[in-house]
Amino acid sequence: MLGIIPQLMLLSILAFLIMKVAPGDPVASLVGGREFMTEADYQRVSRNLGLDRPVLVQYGIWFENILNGDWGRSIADGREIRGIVLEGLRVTLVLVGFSWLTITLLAIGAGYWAGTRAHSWPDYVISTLALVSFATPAFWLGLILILIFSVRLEWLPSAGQSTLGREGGLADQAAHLVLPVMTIVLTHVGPCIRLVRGSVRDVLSADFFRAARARGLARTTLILRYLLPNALTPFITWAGFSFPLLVGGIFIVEWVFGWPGIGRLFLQAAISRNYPLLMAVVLVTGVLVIIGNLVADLLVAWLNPKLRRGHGR
Amino acid sequence: MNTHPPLLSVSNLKSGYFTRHGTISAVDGVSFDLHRGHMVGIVGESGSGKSTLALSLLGLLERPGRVVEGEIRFAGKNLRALNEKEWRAVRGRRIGMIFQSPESSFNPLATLGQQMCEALMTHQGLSQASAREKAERALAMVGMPQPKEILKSHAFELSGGMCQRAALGLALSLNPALLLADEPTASLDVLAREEMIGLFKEMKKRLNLSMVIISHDLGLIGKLAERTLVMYAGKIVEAGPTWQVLGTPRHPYTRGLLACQPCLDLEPQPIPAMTGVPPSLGKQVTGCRFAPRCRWAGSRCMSDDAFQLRPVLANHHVACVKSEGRDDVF
Ligand SMILES: Nc1ncnc2c1ncn2[C@@H]1O[C@H](COP(=O)(O)OP(=O)(O)O)[C@@H](O)[C@H]1O
Ligand SMILES: [Mg+2]
Repeated sequence: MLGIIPQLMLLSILAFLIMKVAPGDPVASLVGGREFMTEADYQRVSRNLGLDRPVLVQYGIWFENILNGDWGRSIADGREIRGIVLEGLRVTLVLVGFSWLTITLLAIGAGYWAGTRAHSWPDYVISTLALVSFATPAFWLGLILILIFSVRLEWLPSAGQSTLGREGGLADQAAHLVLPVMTIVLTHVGPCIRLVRGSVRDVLSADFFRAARARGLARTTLILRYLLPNALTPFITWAGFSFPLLVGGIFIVEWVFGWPGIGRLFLQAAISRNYPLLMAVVLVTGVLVIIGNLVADLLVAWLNPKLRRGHGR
Repeated sequence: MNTHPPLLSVSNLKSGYFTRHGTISAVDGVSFDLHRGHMVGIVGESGSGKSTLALSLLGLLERPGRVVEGEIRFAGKNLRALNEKEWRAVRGRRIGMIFQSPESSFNPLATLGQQMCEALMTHQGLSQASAREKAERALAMVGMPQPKEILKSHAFELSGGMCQRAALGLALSLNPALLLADEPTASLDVLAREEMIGLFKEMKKRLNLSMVIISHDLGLIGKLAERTLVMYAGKIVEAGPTWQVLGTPRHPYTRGLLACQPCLDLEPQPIPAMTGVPPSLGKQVTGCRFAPRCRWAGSRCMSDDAFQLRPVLANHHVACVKSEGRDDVF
């Protein structure tokens, strides 16, 4: 739990270093080049910006500004970085949220279904599809889906999160979500299904499950209190650990589908050398990943009485 | 003798595992009766089909295993005719079962209280509060010192002996007419084993409990069971009153078991007093299945009916051609 504080510190130092080692002189870039300012002006501006202080002090000031909500301005267009990044984060979370929900439902549903029918042909079909899904690159699948559903069939939009001029429409936004969510889900759900299938099988053959059956409990009790909680613990743990993977996948999908989220911001900032923006995006993405892991940890601890008791005392 | 119809009557029960590599006849024509308030002990090496028999009695065999043939009459009902829903009204409620590994009798994610109450509420329609009360009383009955605290614990927080007690308490709280126990003391230490034996004795007297006890522990069987069945390769090779079977065993296999009681605990090593290991139950063999390991085996042991139970005394049956007639054949 307390482990996240050093993680956050490390992350912020990393983000700060990106800015420091980035090529280019921030003072000179203010006026378009060193040759446009006198030595005295240069010294003065440097002092005003705090750039003459030791690096450690600069880091402290920068970190304090971040905490105070002053994230600086984008080099490209001078807009407030905080607004840009938080809007990108919101848009990304919509995508992550829907994808994660779909992955979870599919993993539980298909994993349970295949696990209770192990070695029947539906199980083989699901397992094969899961393997294929795992081996498919998101970039490639995204383009294929666009080709089929947008270009050929013209059923679904292929870019952005809404049609220009129709920003408010829920149906329009939902239609824009379909292909990116589908791409993320199809490329990530495979291992999840396999995992749930495996743990469902483990529980079904566990001694405690047989003991519960020997007590004559109702089917729903067996499934809801014995099978699912025990079978889903490994999935939740894994979902937490693989969260960075999901975020990585989202970056690519946002790029392919022009989804104006934090992943696309990252790639744009990197390409245009917009370092203050890049730094903020790295920081926010890192925080997102850390929070994701933390939530998974808490959830697993809450589910597992062994850990729960251990922490309680 | 007993004139009432038996509580449990098993006749010619056959169960097998149908795997890709062939059929394993784990229980191959087992018959026995059990009367109310009595205990029958089942002994035999690992792999002789004891657990499969117990699971068959409760309809718990799962793929690739299944009951193939025979009849299980319990309190006048043919259990083999039950569907899954009807089974649920028998399991726990009429026939309880406890297993070898006590910790794994319980859901690792739930407290013992939750699991006891859930069973009581399912079978007796109790409210949460009265189920909890009844669970407490059941734990107190099996000699648990602080039932309230135990109900709040998880299985991993208790010792093996405590868990087995709790499992027995849970099973008995549902007032079953019959209790199946599959190696109930095998994973316990000596002290916990003694306590468990005492507890079984007490419960048998107090509740007029009928039990099928499967165990390697001939000491336990000797102290508790009226009748003892010796199982080998899916068949009963000797059946009779416990004092006769353990006191004057007739089958060479039973003699082997008795000759080396300690080795039974260290399964599945071969028994030194007998050479060889139990046969694989996959292939059909004619004649006595124990013959390859038997030092007294002769040509008569290869006849088709050599492995059939035959009476040697009233109530005492042995599946050995040499047990007929004279006492001193071996
Ligand atoms: N799930 C299973 N699949 C295939 N064979 C099994 C299975 N369970 C048990 N067997 C076989 O059935 C036989 C009897 O096993 P079991 O009833 O467990 O014996 P015991 O309880 O006397 O040790 C053994 O040969 C064992 O290998
Ligand atoms: Mg066994």
